[in-house]
Amino acid sequence: MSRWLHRAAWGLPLALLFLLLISEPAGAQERCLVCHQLRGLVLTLPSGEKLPATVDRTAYEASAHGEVPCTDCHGDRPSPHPKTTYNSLGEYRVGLAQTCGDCHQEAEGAWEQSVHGKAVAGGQTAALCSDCHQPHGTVEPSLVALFTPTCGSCHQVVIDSYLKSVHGQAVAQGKTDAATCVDCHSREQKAHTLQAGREAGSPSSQKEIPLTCGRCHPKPLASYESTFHGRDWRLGVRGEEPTCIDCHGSFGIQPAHGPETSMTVDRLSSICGRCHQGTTVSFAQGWPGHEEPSPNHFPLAYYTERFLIYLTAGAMAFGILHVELDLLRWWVDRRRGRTK
Amino acid sequence: VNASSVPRRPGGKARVWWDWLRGVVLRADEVLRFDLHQRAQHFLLMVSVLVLTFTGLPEKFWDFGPSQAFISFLGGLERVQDIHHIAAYVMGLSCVYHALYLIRPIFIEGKLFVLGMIPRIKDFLDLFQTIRYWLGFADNGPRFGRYSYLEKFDYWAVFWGVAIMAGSGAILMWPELATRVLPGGVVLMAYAAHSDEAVLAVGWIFLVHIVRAHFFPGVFPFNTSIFTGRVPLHRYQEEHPLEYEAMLKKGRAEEPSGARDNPAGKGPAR
Repeated sequence: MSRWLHRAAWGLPLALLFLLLISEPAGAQERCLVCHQLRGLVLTLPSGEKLPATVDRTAYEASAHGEVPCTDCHGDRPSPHPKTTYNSLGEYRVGLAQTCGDCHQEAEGAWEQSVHGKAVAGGQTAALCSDCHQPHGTVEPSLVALFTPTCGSCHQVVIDSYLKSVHGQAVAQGKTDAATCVDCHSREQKAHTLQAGREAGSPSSQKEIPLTCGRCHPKPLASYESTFHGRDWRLGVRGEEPTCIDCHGSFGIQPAHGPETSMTVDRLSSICGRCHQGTTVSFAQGWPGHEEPSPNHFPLAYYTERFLIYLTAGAMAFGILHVELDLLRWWVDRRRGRTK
Repeated sequence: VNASSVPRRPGGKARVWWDWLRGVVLRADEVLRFDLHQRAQHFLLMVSVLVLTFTGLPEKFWDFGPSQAFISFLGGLERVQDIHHIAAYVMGLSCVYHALYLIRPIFIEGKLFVLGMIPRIKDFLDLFQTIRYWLGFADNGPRFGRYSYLEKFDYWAVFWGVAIMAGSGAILMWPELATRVLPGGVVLMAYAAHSDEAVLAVGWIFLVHIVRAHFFPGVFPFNTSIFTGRVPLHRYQEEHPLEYEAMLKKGRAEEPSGARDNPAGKGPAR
């Protein structure tokens, strides 16, 4: 009996206070936040997964949604709340993306075409609105420096590698024009249209990588296109022809001429050996890098080319001249009435 | 006619064709200029060079729109390269054939260089005479033997061209193997050589060789001699008078009005 008394002693005043507050003609926000600003509120879904239900009032009021009433997104949910219709966190998340799309149609449309949107549509767990944006918070992930922690919350291994790369280091030093996730994974350099490298037409796919890198590194792209690799990449259909990342690496890319990472012959030799079986150091020495042959750089190839250009010009001039003069003389003889 | 009284060679129609191909049977007004081996070598070389040209040029000028269209028409770069390599083997076959053909007389006749392709002083004098003729200082051009200096030039151009193309092509085909014995720089050198020498070869074949051989007065529009081996006697007399006279001198040639079975058909003096 004392248990009931105990409950009544606390419960009745609380219930009265509660009724008092919600009976006040306050905004929906105020009414919801009476409970939902309490720390540790958790909704247990039928699947057993737990959905946090606490909202930080200060952050919420400062956020872009600060003026938007709760019911716009969560619907009118009279107290006591009816049982949730979502069975699992997965179902809840998909529903959430649709809710955001009610207002942010363009963003949702773009996202649906992205690698994340397609994965979610296929029943997989992938990033949707609330994983990068906090609906009740102030975090705005479109700031360059915030991509790494945001993407890293799922792609931890990749981001760890990226942070050590030349790009990651530059961003860490405040160079905001260095490549971040979206620069290579989205054609529009926007997070809503992210594509995976395995997707055809993606800027990080084998067919597009050199063009993507070339946006910032045009000179290496031009010289790459003049090599066997570049030509094979352009015309190849296998999709296995080597591009920038096959020699230089992708996420953890290092400068080719750095003190520790420079492309020494030994290092190059092992890189070549990934595709060319049975290579030697001599094979790697034959790689011209991103520089055309010149008298100082691969003179053998340079002078071979010069020699053959002169030889071609000379031989062709001799041959064509010979043929033309033979014909001319034949014609002159004929005009003069000499049969030939 | 009693069929049994006419001696007939066995083999029927196929035999007749084979004899025609070999040039055993000749008309009185024609001379066998190229034997079957030479024609077969030329045919293999011609077919392989044409295929190599049409698969190689789109690769060299890959930036050019029609090249890319042609490459995708053939089924992509890998397919084009496969065809190119097969044609290269055919060209190699024709080279081996020619090499065997060249050393054969050593064992049969004990003689070397029977083809008459080695340049002589007369060839340079002939060129000088040609220039005089062009400029009007002489009424006639030089009188040629079996091969004119331009024909010799053509032959040695192929000799040089095939050596460069096959050598550089092999390095490009097996760069890992090549750099085991040669310095790495040869791959880039081979790349430049293969690409540039190809332009010289194709330019020479299409602008000089074909024009001189086919599109010339007397033979226009098509000179069949490298395919049939036969040249009309009157043309042989004009184009290779010294050779013709040598044939007469040896008693192996007769006037066109002569016998039906022309002894010259056994081929020019070798």
